Amino acid sequence: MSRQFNTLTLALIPVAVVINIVMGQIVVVLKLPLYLDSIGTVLVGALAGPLAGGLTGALANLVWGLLTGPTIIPFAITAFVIGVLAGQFARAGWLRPGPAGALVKAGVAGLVTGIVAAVVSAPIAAVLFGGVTGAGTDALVAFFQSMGANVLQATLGQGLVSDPLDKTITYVVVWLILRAMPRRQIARFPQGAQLLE
Amino acid sequence: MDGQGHTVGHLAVHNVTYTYPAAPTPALRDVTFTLEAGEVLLVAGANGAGKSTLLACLAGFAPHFFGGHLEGDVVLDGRSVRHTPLAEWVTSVGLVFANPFNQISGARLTVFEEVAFGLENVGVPPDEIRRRVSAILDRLDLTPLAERSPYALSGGQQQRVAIAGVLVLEPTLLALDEPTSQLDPEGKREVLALLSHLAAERHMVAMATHDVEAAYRLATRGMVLHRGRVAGQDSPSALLARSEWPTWGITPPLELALAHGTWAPWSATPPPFSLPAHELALPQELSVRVERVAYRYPTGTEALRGVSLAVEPGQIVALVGRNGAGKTTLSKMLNGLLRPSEGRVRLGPHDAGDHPVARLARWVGYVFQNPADQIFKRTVWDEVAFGPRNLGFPTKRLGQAVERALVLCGLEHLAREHPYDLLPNQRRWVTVAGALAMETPILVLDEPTGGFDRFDHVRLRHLLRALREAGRTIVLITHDMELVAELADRVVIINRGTVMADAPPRQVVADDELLASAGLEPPPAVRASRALRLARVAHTHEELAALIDIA
Amino acid sequence: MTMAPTLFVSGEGPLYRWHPLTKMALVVAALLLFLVPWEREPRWLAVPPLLTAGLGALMAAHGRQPASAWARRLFWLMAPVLVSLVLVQGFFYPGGRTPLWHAGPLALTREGLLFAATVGGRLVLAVGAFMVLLVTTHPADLTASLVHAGLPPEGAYLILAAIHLLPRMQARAQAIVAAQQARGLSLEGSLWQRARALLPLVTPLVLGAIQEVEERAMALEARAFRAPRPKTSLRTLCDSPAQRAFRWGIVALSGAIALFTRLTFGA
Repeated sequence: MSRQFNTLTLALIPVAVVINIVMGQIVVVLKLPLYLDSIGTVLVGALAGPLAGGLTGALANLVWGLLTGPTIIPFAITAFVIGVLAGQFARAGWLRPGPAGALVKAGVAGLVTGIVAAVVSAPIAAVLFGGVTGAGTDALVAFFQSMGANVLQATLGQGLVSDPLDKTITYVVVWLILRAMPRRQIARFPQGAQLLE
Repeated sequence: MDGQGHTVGHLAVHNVTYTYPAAPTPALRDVTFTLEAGEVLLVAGANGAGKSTLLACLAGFAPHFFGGHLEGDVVLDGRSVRHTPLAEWVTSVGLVFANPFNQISGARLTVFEEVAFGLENVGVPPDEIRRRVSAILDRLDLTPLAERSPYALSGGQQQRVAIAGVLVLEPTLLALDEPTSQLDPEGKREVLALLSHLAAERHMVAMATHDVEAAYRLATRGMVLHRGRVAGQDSPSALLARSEWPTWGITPPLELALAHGTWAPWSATPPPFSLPAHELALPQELSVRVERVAYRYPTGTEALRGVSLAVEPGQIVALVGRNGAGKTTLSKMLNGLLRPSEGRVRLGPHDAGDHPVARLARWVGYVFQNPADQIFKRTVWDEVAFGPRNLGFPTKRLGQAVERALVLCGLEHLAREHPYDLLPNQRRWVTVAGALAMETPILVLDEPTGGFDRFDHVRLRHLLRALREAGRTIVLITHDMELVAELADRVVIINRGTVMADAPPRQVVADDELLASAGLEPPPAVRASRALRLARVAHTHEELAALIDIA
Repeated sequence: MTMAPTLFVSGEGPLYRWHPLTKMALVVAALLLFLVPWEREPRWLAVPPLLTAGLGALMAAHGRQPASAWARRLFWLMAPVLVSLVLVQGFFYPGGRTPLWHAGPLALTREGLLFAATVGGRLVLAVGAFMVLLVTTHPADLTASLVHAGLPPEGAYLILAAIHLLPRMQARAQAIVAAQQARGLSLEGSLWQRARALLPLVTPLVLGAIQEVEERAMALEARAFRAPRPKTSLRTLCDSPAQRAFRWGIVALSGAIALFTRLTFGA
């Protein structure tokens, strides 16, 4: 860690962790039916690469765990994968802040990330939590199980209903933020030049 | 002399020219000077003149952190910045900048640990760390704060901790970039006292500041930068007595300017914008009436009680007082961001309580303290247009309102730029323009002068005067008593949630007892007329000059 | 505001003196017990709640405040999950064959309840053990212990800086909401109208924060954070051979139980 990240990236990661957490507050103010709690993770993935993005995601869950309780910590694995994927998508040019048409590409990257996130989360939720979270979405798990799915399949089904939409919007928001960022500032970050090309 | 035969404590800057990455022109050109142990260099100049860049070059951040291109060299005790890695260089040159919060590492829990952070990083053994940290806390009078959280301190205390955190590494040169610009008057006094202590200890210091008046007595050397070049180097009192200061964008110490006959009032500079007065007039004028208002936070803490206030169209009323006294709480009631727990707020015929914030925005424009809390568009033009667009201005009126606001704020040539590519003072002007473009009869400005140079101050004064003449109702929150004395029709001192005084400035600005109880200082003209033992106390620079002419 | 409130509650007693890694060993031991095939023998299902109660007794020995913080937070974290487990898996467990009780067309099954009890019991035990660690360990000691165990110091910085930045960023989010409303932005209306207000709120939050990142990075550099030498640490944690032995012992014991039961009774 010491030498892999430059100081700017090191200073960016805790800020992005906190952005993830504070997003929950903004979503509540606007009464939106979304989480958007990966915006900081995806942003770091885009600006500083897959490893930094993954670390941001994992740390966000760890820090949130220190503040509220450990049940969220196992999902650090999902958050890590989201950050890594964001970094890879950005590297491949899918998050390049360009004309409005490029928005579609960012959205597709978000959709894919959401599907992967659901796939990674499902076994964690199924094994550790028996497929439930204690929230209203548990009704979906019951529904899928009553349709004949096993616990893992039902948990996956529940994730696939909410994650892809949330991550698609997350990526679109990050893409719009990147577009609003001055190019000079983007270029300061390790993956910035690649992002702009 | 150290082992290599170099004099210890000798800084030589040779023909330094520095260009930021992707910048078309250098930010600093051909700067040459030397500095010895025990000297304090004051660097003055307008925003964008290259002060911060110069300090970044001295501290090795340009080019090691920013990238870009450095020509020439900075040599400290025989070591060249070009050939020394930043992690090494920072132990010889300590850099402190304006924002105290951002300088606290966040990795440590107490002031003691925070100051120790740098020593841990260079691998000093724990026992020696404890000794050195205790010693520096003692020297800088920080020992009483040692076990406090650095985040629980006032801005002035945080800034002193930041200075201690850098000084503990025993740098040869301490580089300070606007160390007082984000502090309230009390914080400024604390930090200046610390700096005079360092000067007396014969540290080598380079300090950039707009507050030349407060800092020049500490300095042994002066330098003025103008558009990236050295415009003058001399002893501080000789340099600041020169007559070019209006073109440099600095405000010289009043006593020097008066003594050398170089003084000129801000009103002698013509307005930097030309707009016919009728263009600023609005079809509607609204007064402000705050009636016996109290405000309690949800926690039960009472922030305001029994506050009444009246502001008429064509008036500027200044709200002054300590941080946390309730000024901002009061002003946020004008546009409904906070609702009074008791009493009411009327805007002309309207009761503010009957309208949501987004609607009150048609009547009250608000310039917030921190530009970063609102800027989000890709161009200055779009940013300024955000408010009037929300208010549903038709296209033609929108265009006119935005253009007019840009002209008033000196941004017309920057309309297509990205707000974050501008200088910090220009970003502040973007937020002023954003509020002006909403064409509201009432305007609230919360600490609008942070980071302003002389040019900005002159523009703000002309602007406020023009708006007053056009019948706007203006509420100004500020610590700048000079601005208050010159422009306010009334001063309202808020202290611990109540109105302590509500009177014309001349009844307030020379009342030391009253000012002190609200944590304020008299403006420079009052201090100067006392120092000069004039028969009458002048309240503004203009009065002072007139009195001196008569004498 | 100094630091975002964490789960840590200050107090005194052996748990507060223990090395954080020792408490972490409890968590690892509890996690290893996930491997035990609890559902094989309904009587075994009493074991995790008993162990959790043991943890509660341990906390209770450390005074009212830490103990009630531990119990309250554990309850609010776990109660919704347990209720949900019983409702979802009790009634809809795919392997449910033996109905115990009927509610209209739905049946509460024995297999479903066993599954819920298995998952719920071991989960509460693991979360309870984790909560012991979090309630009795200051985050700074937790990160310091991780650094002692080999985490790079930068990792400790990332965690603590985030906890310190949170109050400031929450205050900024509020300031942004205020500033944009004052510019006529409405936060009410249809879903689409509210969604449109997202960018004027999120973008300044991120752009302003990134602007600060540069200053924060400079401040770190100015404090020689990237000096290429080994760092030292002021914060010392007390450790002892006994604690080290306990750490390895409890993890080994729990691992052995898990392995033995799984091999002997596992499917």
